[in-house]
Amino acid sequence: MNKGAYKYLFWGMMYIFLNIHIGYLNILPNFVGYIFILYSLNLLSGEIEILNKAKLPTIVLIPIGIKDILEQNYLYKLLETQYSIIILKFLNSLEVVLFLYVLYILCQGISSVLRDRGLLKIEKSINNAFRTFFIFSVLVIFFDPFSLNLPLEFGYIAIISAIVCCIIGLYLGYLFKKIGDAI
Amino acid sequence: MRIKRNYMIFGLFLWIAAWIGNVYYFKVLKEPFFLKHYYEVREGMQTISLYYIDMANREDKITSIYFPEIDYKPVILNKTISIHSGNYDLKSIELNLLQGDDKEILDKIKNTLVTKIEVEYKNGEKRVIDIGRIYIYTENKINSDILSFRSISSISGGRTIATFRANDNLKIKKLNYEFMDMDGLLGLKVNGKVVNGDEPSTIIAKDEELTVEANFEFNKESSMKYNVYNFFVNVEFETLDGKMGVNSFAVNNQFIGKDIFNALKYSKSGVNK
Repeated sequence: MNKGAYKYLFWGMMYIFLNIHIGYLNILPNFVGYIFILYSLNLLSGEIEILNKAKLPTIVLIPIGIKDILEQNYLYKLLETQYSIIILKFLNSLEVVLFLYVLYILCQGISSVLRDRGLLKIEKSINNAFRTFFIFSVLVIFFDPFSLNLPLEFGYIAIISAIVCCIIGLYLGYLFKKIGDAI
Repeated sequence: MRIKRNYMIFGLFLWIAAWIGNVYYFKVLKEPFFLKHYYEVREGMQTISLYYIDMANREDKITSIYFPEIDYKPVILNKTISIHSGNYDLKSIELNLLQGDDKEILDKIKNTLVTKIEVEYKNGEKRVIDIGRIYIYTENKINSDILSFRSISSISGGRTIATFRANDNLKIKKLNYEFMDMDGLLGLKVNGKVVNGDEPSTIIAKDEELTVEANFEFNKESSMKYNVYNFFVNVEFETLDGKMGVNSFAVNNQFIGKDIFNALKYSKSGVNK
C-alpha cells in the first residue's frame, strides 16, 4: 500500500479547490492538482485496478486546467474574440464533468479498499461526501450552459453550489489524507 | 454510491443538448447595441446619457458620437456600466451638449430633432444608428405664477405623481407631451380621473392642489418597454379671466437587469417606435 499516494491526492484536492489570486495570477492552479492526482492514480492503480479508468480523463484535464493560471475575467479580456465566452465557459463545464467522473472512480476504488480492510466508518464518510458533491456538481454542470442566456440573478444558484462543492472537495482531500495515515 | 452506466450516458446526452441549445440562442454582439431614446431636453440641461448594451468584459471601443442631422459632435464626458447582467452590460455614455453658455452652439442645436447618431470606434469604423427621437432644447413656456409646482414622486413600475397648487381659479385645458403619437405609451390621470387625450376640463379653485399622475402603460409583449424615456408632461390651463399658461413635470422609465436579455431580441430588428 502506497501511503504517499494519498498525500498526493490530498495536495491535488487542495490545488483544485483552493484558489488564491495575486493580481490576475492564481498561485494554486488546477492543472498542478491534476498532475498530483495523475501521479497518485499511477501509484495506486497497481493495487486498485478500477483507477485505470480515471487516468485518461485526468490526462485530458491537465491542459484544460492550465487556463486556471489566469483570473477568469482577465482571460475573457485577453482572448477577446467574439466566441471566447462560449469557448471558456464550455471548457469550464467540461472540466467539471471530467473531474466529477475522476472523483467518482477514485471514491469507488478507495471505498472498495476500505471495505476490504474493515475501515467502514471512513468508507461511509467518503461515500456521503461524494454523494453531496455529486448533487451540487450536477447543478453546476447544468447551470453552465444556461448561464449564457440567463440574467445574473440566477447565478447565485451556481455560486452557492460551487461553494458547497469546494467545501466538500476540501473535506474529501482531508479524508484521503486520513486514509493514508490509517493504513 | 454506484451510478448506472445508462444514467451516465443519459446525463451526458442532456448536458450536450443543453450546450447546443444555449449556444444556438446565445447572442454575441459584434458591436454595441444602442437602445432607442425618447428624450425631450430642455434648455438648462447640459448633458444627456445614451444607453447601449455590450458584451461584459469587453473593452469599450466607442471614441466619438456625432449627430449627423445637425452636424454637431457633443463631447463625451464619461462612460459607465449601469447594469451588469450575465454576459452583458448595460452601459451609458454621457454627452455634454453645451459647454458654458456658448451662444453660437446654443443657436445651432436649439429646437432640433436628433434621430440618428454616427458612432466612431477605435479602429476608425463608423456606424450610423437609429437612436429614437431626441428633441434638443425645446421651448420652455412654463408659467409657475398661476400654477406652481409643489412636489413630484416616482414610484417603481414607471409611475410619476406630480402635485401643483393653483394660485388662481383655473381650468385644466389639456395634457400633452412630445410623444403623443406613440399609442399606449403613457396613461394620464388628473386628480385621480383618467384622461385619454381629451380635454380634462377640471376646474381647480384658488389655493387648491392639482395632482397629475403619469404611468408608462406598455403591455407585457410590447417592445416599447425596452426604450429609454425622459421627457416632460405639459399641463395646459386657463384662468377664468382667459389667461393661458403651462406648467410641466418630468417623467422617465427605469431599465432593469433582466430587461437586457429581452431587449436584445430586438438588436437585429430594431425596437418599436
